[in-house]
Amino acid sequence: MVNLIGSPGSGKTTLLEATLPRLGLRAAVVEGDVATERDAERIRALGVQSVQINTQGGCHLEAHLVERALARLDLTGMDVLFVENVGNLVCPAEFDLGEDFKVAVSSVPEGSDKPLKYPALFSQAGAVLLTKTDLLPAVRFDRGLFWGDVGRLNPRASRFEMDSLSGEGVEAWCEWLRGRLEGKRGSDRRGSPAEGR
Amino acid sequence: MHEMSLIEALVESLEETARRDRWPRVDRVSLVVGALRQVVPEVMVFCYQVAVEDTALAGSRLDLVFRPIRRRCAACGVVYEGEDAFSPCPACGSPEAELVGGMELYVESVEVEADEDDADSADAAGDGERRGPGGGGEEGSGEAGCPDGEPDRLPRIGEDHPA
Repeated sequence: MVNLIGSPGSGKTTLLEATLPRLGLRAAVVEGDVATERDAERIRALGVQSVQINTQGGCHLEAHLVERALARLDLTGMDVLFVENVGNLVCPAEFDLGEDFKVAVSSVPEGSDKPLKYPALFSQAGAVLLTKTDLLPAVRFDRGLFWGDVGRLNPRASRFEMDSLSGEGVEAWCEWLRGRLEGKRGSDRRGSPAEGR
Repeated sequence: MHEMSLIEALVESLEETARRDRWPRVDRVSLVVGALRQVVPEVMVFCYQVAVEDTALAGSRLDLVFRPIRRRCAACGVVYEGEDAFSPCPACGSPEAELVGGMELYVESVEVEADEDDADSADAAGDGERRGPGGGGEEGSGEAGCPDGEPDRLPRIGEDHPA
């Protein structure tokens, strides 16, 4: 299970739209939003199972909500479950949904200072994704500062930059995901605990 | 800002365990909270008082035990405490370190009223019996220090629980 966490508009759903056709794995998506089915509908349009949780005011997903959502999915033969958390860099970092790792999604227009401002998320994330790289020429964004700060908080986190609309950078992220799945299955076969990060 | 969510999950888990294990009256719950947790201590205590009203835990007190932010330097391996999640290594000055403590959130112990007639009571004077330490589940970093103990006896907060 992958727990995607990022601000509203950081590009989480668009990232999934770019990832799912390229991933080559059986996947399903649990979508979390305060209201509307919009994100689940976008995923279903790709032919991928998706269930929407509406928190009706809640600012983050919790494990019991995801548990209920799982009951609405056919998980037979499923390789990976993506949970797209409610748009929010603060609260979702506090809650363990049972994921294998959290992924911090931060977009270029949000600015390069987000990691140090939201240390709980960026310190814990197994991967940090910088999205909307096509906007780099248009906005002020210091990539050195951004990745330098990610390194200060979490030197072991895997790092990816992508433009989900063109697909640039998405394959590297997909390859990493496939590797994580392989690694987890290898650990399961050997009977050792799967690594969390 | 989500203290009530966390406390409700805690109280629900404790109640379930209290019922299952037939605990006597609960006097005190000791909750370990890492310094990087985004919670306000006074709000946690207040939410607990509200949440336990009319439950098996009514009248019990929540004590918070804080754990500092701890990081392991990526360059020299030294583990150090920091005021924040990005302070450099005091030993070698490297700015890069990984978080190894500060996201803890687990029940360290529960004090219940000892029954003087109970042969298993640990305290014949009736000051209270400690169950624990350790063993609560935790959210956040797996390296943050879920202690050895009795993981199945004490409630875990934040894990899936019946809706």
